[in-house]
Amino acid sequence: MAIQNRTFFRVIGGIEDETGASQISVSDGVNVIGGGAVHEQEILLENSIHVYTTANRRALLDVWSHGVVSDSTTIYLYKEATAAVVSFAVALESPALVGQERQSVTWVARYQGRIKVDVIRTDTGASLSAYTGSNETSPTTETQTQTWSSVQDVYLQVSLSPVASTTDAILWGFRALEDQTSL
Amino acid sequence: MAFKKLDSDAVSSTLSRPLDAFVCQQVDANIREAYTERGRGAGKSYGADDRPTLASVGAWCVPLSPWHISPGCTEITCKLRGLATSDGAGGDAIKARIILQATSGAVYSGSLYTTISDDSSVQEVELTYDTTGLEGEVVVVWLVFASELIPTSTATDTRHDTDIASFDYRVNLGNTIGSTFDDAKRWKIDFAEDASGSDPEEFFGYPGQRMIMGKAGAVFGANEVLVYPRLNGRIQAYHTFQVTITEIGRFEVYGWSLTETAFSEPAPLTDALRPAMVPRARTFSEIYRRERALAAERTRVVHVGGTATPHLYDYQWGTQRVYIEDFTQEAYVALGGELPTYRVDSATATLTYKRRYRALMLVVAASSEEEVRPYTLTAEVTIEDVGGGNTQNPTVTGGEVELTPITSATNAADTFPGAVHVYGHFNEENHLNGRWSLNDVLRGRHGLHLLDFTFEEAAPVASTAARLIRIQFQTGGIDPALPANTTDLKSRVYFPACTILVDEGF
Repeated sequence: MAIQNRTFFRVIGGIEDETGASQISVSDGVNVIGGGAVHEQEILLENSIHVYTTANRRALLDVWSHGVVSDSTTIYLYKEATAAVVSFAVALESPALVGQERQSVTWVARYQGRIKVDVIRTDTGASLSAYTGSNETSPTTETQTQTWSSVQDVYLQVSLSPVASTTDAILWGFRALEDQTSL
Repeated sequence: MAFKKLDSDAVSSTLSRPLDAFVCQQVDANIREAYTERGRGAGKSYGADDRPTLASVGAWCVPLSPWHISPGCTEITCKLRGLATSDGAGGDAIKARIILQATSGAVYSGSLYTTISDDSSVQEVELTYDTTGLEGEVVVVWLVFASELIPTSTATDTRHDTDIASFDYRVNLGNTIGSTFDDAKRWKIDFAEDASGSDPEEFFGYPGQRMIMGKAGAVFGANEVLVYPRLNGRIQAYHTFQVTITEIGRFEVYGWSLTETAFSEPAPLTDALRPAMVPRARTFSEIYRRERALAAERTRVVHVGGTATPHLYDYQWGTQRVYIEDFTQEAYVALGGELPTYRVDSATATLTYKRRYRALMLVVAASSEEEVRPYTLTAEVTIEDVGGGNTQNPTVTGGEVELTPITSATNAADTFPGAVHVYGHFNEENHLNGRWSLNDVLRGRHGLHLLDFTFEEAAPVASTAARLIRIQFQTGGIDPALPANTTDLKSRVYFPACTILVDEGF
């Protein structure tokens, strides 16, 4: 069986059993483990994968406005009025330290207009991953995944552009969550 | 060492393979790798039009967010991203450091300043704090800052006692200084003997340096500014004195992050897992215990920082609300959902969500009256889909607190409701609102209450999606009693920061 990024933790015995003693016999202190329907060795291996690949994914950036529930046009994180000629402007910029082998984020944004999300390495300013969305003429929730390699010290840059002559660009919220490690 | 990939075949039960010491040692090493590399982390940013600017005369600070330090964590790193402005020639702009305040009130301030220099480009600064001895504790992370002077940007003039007004908060700079003063920058103001010597210094001297909080407002003259701390009566004893303003360095905050960056790694189990030895059950219990501790305790931080309301109150570090009797208002907004999972019964593989959240919520109650009028604040939570719908109101456990307001400066409240009380009122824009004097924090005069409460998503099926978490509150029980939905403008509640994390345990 190929190695898996376990998205769940497997509990041995019950959730209150901190050492798995109900399944791992410690009666004489030297017993090997195993047997029965639950294979403890496999669980130990898979749990070790889980805690490295999946546990504690960092919310690298989470910022939401009071007005997000109603898509308010007066309360928001960022707004840029529409014009005949439009361009992207930076709305949010935040430092981030991603975990080892976790060079992937899935973000959720609530916005209207057009969104651009860049993952940029801090030391050189070079773009590691860039995404540009489509024109959204009404409030929309979008989710995308962006992946890069090696670099842990990055910053996230969220830019917005109005839709020319029709729609103000408004950002109500943005969250970038680390993806589980891909081994 | 790096994480080593191990194929599940290494321990395949169907083949009835014997325990392999090499595999066991690698599992142990991989757990230790997860222990050191999977620290908590979270970040915060501000809308480009509403970025806060840090600057101060002397040491001031802002509460970034509460933080539950993971067990074994020995270092927290704050990355600060922003634009430092000084003399335009690379001079020092501001110095910064982080300090920690425990729930006991004790402030751990054993960190040194890092100087941030002027740069036309956005820069990042890393500030660290050694958390040894604070592992597993809840602390408030404060960002402390103090501006450097820009001696080339200054102006001096002779002023008079009649230029001081509004309970010694307001100073008329006059046209000479006023032509140099720029409210978009930050300034220190000093008082000294008139250069002509016409009004010599008395034995009680002059009030010390102050910070200009900003313009006094449209109803006053163009050159009138507010200063903090309030000038004491000494200055009024002079008819003539010299006023000097000096620009100070500033730092425009684009965003920041907090990350646990060092851990005291658990001892390797290599000796107990040597080749040719029979692995002992207690060793495997210890391996499982470490795995379980990581999964149970090293939980995701969902959100840090405040929910700004710059378009409502010109307030950037959090939210300010007035007291309304028994009326629900919003304090913080975050995105949750997509919760971790575990399987209780490995044989039947029933998937279970970790649906319980923990909120560490900072609250400050302030009153513009001199009397302390306590009241209760009760936290509420609404969880709903982004864009609305599927609304839940989970039960909140531990979300009630008796607030004891801090009071404003004597006699100033009715004259200046709003602009000058850094603690008392937060709804008007000034250069210090939402900032605390480090002096006050170190002496316990910060007024912060920490609410530590939990709540749980009701439906597991909803936990697979991103969901908005709205932390709300009601205030009530003030004396004298008010009818429901009645506003008391003299009592305000400020919410500077809130940390929401997936609660520990299963």
